[in-house]
Amino acid sequence: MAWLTESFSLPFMQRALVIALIVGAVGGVLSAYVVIRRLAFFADTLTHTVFPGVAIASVLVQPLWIGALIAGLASTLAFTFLSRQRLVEDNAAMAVILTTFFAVGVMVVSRVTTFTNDLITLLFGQILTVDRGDIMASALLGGCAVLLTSVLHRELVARAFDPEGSAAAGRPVWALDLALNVAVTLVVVAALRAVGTVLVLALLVTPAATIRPWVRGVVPMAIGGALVGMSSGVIGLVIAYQASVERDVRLAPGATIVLVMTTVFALGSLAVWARRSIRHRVST
Amino acid sequence: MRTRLRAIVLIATLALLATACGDDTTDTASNAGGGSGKITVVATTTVVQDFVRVIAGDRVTLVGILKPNVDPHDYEPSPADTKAVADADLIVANGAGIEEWLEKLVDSAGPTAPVIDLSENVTLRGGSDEHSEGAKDEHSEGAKDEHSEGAKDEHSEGAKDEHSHGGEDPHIWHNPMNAKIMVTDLTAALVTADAANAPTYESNRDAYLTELDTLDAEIEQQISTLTNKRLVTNHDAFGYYVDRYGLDFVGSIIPSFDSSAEMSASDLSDLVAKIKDQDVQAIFSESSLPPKTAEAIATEAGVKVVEGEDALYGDGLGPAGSSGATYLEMMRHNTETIVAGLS
Amino acid sequence: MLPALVLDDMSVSFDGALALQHVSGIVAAGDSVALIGPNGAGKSTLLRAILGLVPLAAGSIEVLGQAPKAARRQVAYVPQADTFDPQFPISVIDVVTMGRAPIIGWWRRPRSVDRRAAAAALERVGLSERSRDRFGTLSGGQRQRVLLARAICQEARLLLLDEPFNGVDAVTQTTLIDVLDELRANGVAVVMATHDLAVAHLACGDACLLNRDQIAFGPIDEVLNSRHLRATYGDRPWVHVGDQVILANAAPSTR
Repeated sequence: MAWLTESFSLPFMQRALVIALIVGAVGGVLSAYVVIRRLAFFADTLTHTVFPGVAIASVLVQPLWIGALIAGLASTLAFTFLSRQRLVEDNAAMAVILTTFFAVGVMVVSRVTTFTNDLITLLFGQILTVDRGDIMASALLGGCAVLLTSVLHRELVARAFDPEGSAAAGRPVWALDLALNVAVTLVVVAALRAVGTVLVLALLVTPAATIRPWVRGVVPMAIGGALVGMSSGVIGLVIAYQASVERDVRLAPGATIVLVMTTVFALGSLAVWARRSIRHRVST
Repeated sequence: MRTRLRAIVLIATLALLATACGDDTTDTASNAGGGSGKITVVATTTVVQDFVRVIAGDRVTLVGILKPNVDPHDYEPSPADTKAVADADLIVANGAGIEEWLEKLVDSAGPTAPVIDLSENVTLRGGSDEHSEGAKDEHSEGAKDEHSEGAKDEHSEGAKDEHSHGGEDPHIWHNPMNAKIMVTDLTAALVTADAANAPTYESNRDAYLTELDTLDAEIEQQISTLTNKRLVTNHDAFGYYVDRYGLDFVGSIIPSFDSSAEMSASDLSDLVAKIKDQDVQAIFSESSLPPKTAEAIATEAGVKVVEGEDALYGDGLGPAGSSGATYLEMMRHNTETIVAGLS
Repeated sequence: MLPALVLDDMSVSFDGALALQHVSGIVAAGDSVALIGPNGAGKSTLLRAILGLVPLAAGSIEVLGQAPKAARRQVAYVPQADTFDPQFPISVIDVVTMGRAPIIGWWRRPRSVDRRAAAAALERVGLSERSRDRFGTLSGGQRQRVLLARAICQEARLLLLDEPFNGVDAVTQTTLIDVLDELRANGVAVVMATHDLAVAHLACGDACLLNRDQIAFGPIDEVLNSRHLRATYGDRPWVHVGDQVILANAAPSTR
């Protein structure tokens, strides 16, 4: 296991590890709620609507996360309001919004000359250069997201399972939806420096999707999702580090983490298929 | 576990982790070049790497960050780079803003050796001035004038002056006189870090300074044979060369000191008009940038484009075995190419 | 004692068109009313109006003497079981415990009294042994029973059911009717949308016939006669079996 300790012997890798663990855990927990609400495409749209606000903020405000948070929450509020008005119910409308907001964001960033670099950093993160401030911000925002969903857990599950019943019981369904969207936004901002606005979607969907066939209940999904998220972070960073230092092969760490997560999902799906075939064979 | 309790535990654990992996202590980040007594020098750009090779030869272990033909302006450091910087005894940079990523890299590497900025004693040009027609007066006094605050330069037709480095031209090495300053400063730093080899470093430096003077005279002579000295390049990389040798800089395709700006429609048509008006003979593309835009403008303006093997080296050196593998070779190649293109 | 439900000439409109009009009636504690009518007649709309989920165009509704929205704590709703995602990761007992939500409120967590109530409700519908199974693995009828259990542990005074007997097995049908009878004996009022006239006779004392307009509201044996049925369903073949009127083919309501 020397390669494990060796990969994290330097401070910058240790910081990358901490933020990857935080973001992986928080994303994993949130993914349970995104998946049971079948919100994957909605979450995709949401992460894209957060982007222009984040882009503007990155040019205007430092530290990045404060501006990004304000802007991100503003876009989320606007987007939630729009969807409540039934203007964005179908996928076509969401696709239009997604691409429009994204284009606005790119335009904003392109006003600044160093835009390719800044753009890439906003979209894909720059996990190797995070500092303690970034880690604190991620922990704070991520912690709030998890706290929010934990407190509202029963209501969120009820609303996901039985929206009509929830409404019938007098629950303000729109407020619950807003709360979940806000939690997702918090995760997006928390993950900005680590994996960026594009890849964060993977953290918000894949972990729970992977763990779902193996557990029963939303809480196990959340915990399992957190574990998947965290371990993908560790493995991804180790691979990126070893590839760079040992083999001089450049692998973007953020993307590597996401690919590890996807691989785990693929392996998990394979295992589910295998389990099903075995069971089928046993019973017939 | 109940959900709320779980959340609190999770947050507390993560917060603990975050603070635990906190301050970079004095853990030994640097080592002495692999136990052979040689110091490890990390050099950012290919030009600086070449200078280190010339002055120090095999007396040091050289680790280069940028590879040949890689664009230095928007480079993304890898884990290996960060590790190299953390382990180095001396870090040498071109400076003047060409390595925008260096500061973050050094910060994230923890406690490091000192960073030597070779542009410190060089007089910098500032502000984009396509209209300067060879005049090198207004900007040559260190460029800490209005331009460096990111203010709009009325000459520059929307030049994107909002650089983080204050609008200065970082391509200082294209003037051999600047190279002499850089090499001198480099030697001083090497001597401080490794006094044992000082005599070697100093004699290498002296020999090289002579060679740079020879180079300077050669280029001067060759350029003087040209009647049409109008230069159009891919980006504003050749300002110091233009100033030194009195060329007429008509404009560049990317009107900026770094390569990531995007040309607006009006910039493009202005450039094409200028090329046609001013009887420009050729557009010179560069080795580290894609030639498509240069080709398109050349077609539009009806002039030839010098590209491929003959492209200029704007942002650094070429790979080993190419026409621009060392500084001296690179400068000679650029000069020959320009002279050939404009004759 | 306060009637559980008072409907006073109420009307509901959607997009400018009247979905339901002139519905009047009183449901006392312990009563049970079958809402009868073809698809689109307004049965679901009426249930939603009682829950305060749709605004009234005219008239009024009083639930236990209050406006519908204020009385929600006392009204339990049992939807059709096939409206739920069978893959949803939730166990049977968790579904039942959801019924305690109005009692527990937002901030507290379920306490042992809540867990006992849920277990008891599940026991009452005969599905205790499936308590930990995923809700989606149960049959349609079993899921319907679970949803009734959920409503039971809310300890409401008024129970609204939407087509609860749709496509259920015999065991479920018997269980549902028995449980409803017990609840009624304890003073709970029941309003049930159904198209199954045979079951309506078994389970309900009153009937409200709807076809956008209210055709009739009263004791089921009086109200379910040829004239009213013709007004409700148009010319559909039906038969008399003893005192009761049965529709010859009752197509389940499509959703």
